[in-house]
Amino acid sequence: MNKHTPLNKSGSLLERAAQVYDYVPALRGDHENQAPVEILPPEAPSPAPPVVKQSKPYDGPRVIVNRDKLRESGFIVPDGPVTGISEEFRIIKRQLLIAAKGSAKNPPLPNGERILICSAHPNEGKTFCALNLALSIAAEKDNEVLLVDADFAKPSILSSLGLEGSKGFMDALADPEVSVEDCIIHTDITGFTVLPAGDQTNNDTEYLASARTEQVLNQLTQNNPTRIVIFDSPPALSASPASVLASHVGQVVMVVKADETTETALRDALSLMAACEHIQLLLNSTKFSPTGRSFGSYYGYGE
Amino acid sequence: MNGLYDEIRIAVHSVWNRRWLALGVAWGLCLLGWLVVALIPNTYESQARVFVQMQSILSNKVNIDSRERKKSIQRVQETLVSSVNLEKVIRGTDLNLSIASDRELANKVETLRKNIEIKTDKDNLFEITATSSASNFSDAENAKLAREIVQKMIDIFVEENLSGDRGETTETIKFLNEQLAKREKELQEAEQKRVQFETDNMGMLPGIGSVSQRVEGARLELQTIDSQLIQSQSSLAALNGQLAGTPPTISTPVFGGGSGAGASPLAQAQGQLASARAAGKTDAHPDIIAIKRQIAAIRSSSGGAARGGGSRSFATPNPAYSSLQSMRAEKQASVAALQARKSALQADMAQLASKQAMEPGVQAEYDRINRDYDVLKAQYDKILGDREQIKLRDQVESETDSVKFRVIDPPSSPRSPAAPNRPLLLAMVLFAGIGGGVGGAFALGQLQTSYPTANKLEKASGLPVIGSVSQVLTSVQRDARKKKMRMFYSGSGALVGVFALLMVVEFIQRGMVV
Repeated sequence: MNKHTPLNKSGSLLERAAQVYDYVPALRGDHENQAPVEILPPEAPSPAPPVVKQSKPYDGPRVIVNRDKLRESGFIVPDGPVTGISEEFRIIKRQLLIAAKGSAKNPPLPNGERILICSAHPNEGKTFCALNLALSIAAEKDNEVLLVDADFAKPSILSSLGLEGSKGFMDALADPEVSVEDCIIHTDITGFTVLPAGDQTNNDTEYLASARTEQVLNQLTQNNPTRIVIFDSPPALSASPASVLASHVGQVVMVVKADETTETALRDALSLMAACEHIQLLLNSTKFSPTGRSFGSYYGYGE
Repeated sequence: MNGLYDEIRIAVHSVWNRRWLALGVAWGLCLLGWLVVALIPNTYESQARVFVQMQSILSNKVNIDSRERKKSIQRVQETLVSSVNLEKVIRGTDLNLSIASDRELANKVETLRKNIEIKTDKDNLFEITATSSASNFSDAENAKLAREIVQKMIDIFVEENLSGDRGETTETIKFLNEQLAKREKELQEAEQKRVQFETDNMGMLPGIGSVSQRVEGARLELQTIDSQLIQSQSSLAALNGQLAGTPPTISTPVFGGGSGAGASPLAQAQGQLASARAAGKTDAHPDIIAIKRQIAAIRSSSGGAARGGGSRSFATPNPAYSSLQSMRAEKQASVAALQARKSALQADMAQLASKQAMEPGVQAEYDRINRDYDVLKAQYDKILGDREQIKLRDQVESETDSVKFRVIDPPSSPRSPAAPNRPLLLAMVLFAGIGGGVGGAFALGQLQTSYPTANKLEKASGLPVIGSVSQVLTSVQRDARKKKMRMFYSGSGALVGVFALLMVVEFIQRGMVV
């Protein structure tokens, strides 16, 4: 379900999308301001100054997310009709947000706003869930969301959104000169930002395990308390960064593909994720529901 | 119940998820099963019914009872599948062709024994069934072979029933003849022995009276004779007494005449002499001599009488005395005769008494000889009767056919194989294949635990499940899926199609036999 058709880079599609959503003026306007944003990084190393900076709303350039592509691939379409999938993710995000913010009974989790989406094997729906979750949380009035593509070997977030690649997370980790804030791509969807994976190195895991990672992550969250950071991790049983990432996050969502993920694989993956204490499961790609859940049809829109 | 229903739905779902595996297993099993079914050689079955009639009026008359007859038929039925008979069958049919060694023959016999079945319905209706599935023969040949085997079995059955009994009769007669000859000889010996014994113990054998009886008789006779003897002796004594008391002569006084009486015989005799001389007879004549002697005698007697008495009396012999004398002589004779008789009887009794001691032994011996003889005779008679009976029976059997065989259903020519029931087997293989596929998929689902529902996942892992996301398909995936489903359906259809094809082939093949 998270296998998506390769990005169709034809300009006409972008053009058409822009026309449909009438973002052409905004896109045009942003193009002139893109250069100044990239000059900001020198201030990144010091944690304190960004707090002041990030607190004010971003008014830089925004990229347009291809809505057709989202719809076609089965993602939640922002501002689109209520579908089964959007309803399901509404239920899921609520629990994650409650855990992050804390409730009357439970105090907020440490680093609860950092959510790692992983799975045991590839093709179990990590990117699909991460992206949908991010899109769903983006619609929250009180939160904004940063979707981090932590699958350095096979980044797929950008292509799923129909966006161009640029510097990303790994670059920020590997090169202290690069500010992570500068790597964030702001989209035309309100509250939805993306941090690309960046260029893959041979020491991804070591960079992730370094002290700098914590600094960078702190930059991302502490400066912006409303921000929820969602990491799209590599498969736990295929790449080592996943288990290291688990130590940096407050919540881990283990995606389990219905009828495919086996018990042994799940157990193995869970043992690798032991660094995080708060692990939750998410069953993806269910084909039938014995309890008769059928979200999406109630509103009369149907698929 | 809800839980069970859900479990079933989940199980069906898990099988459906592995439908490709199920299809693969089904195909594999079906192909393998169909291959095995195809390799099973056809078995053809032929059947015949034989009616055996045993009742015959004549047979009953000569004591061949139906029970005995039934027994003999049963015996034949039981021995029909003996190795010897089966070898006959093999030699008489095409089975013969592929036999090279005794070992092979023995194997064939064993196989044939299993393939032949003889059933008896209602005592005298026999059903002979034979199956043939020789792998080196074609179907048509097998069908023919089955028929031939049954035909041969019927032949043997009839033949065994007839000749078996006849042989038995001949043998029995031979045995009886031998026995008869022996008995005859023994009987003759016994007869001789009896005759000999009878001659040896002539007087002691029953019929003449027993020894003791005769002793008794003799004793009675002796007593009678004794009393008679005593009577005779006493009367003799009385007579003697009487005789002693009676004078031998009585004297008569002579008064004239008296002398005359004395002189007259003399005178008479002289007169006679004179007449004789007158007649010319000389003194030498015997008559004259006799008369002269008489005269002399008379003179001497009359001279003595005259001197003794002195008286003039004349003494004459007493007639009573002489009669008594004759009576005494008579009595004496009868006493002598009685005494002789008595002594004879006594001697006889002594002899009998000695024989009496031997008597019981002789009797017993005689009885024994008689008994032996009787027993021998009885046996001889019986055997003789038996032999005649059997001779008659043999003739009855051979000349009137006491057992009649009628083939009611001649050996059938099978058109379709009796076994294996290929259509059924093919269908069973199909179902087994499908079942195996479903079962395999289900088993794999049980072995490889995966999670079809959030509920199950939560139960199994013990971790919170924050939600479940339905499967979302892109149009490309949907198309691919449709294509896959089409492939799956065509794969399943092809399986059924192959099955149908095999059935058609099977029925066409059946049509070709005959």
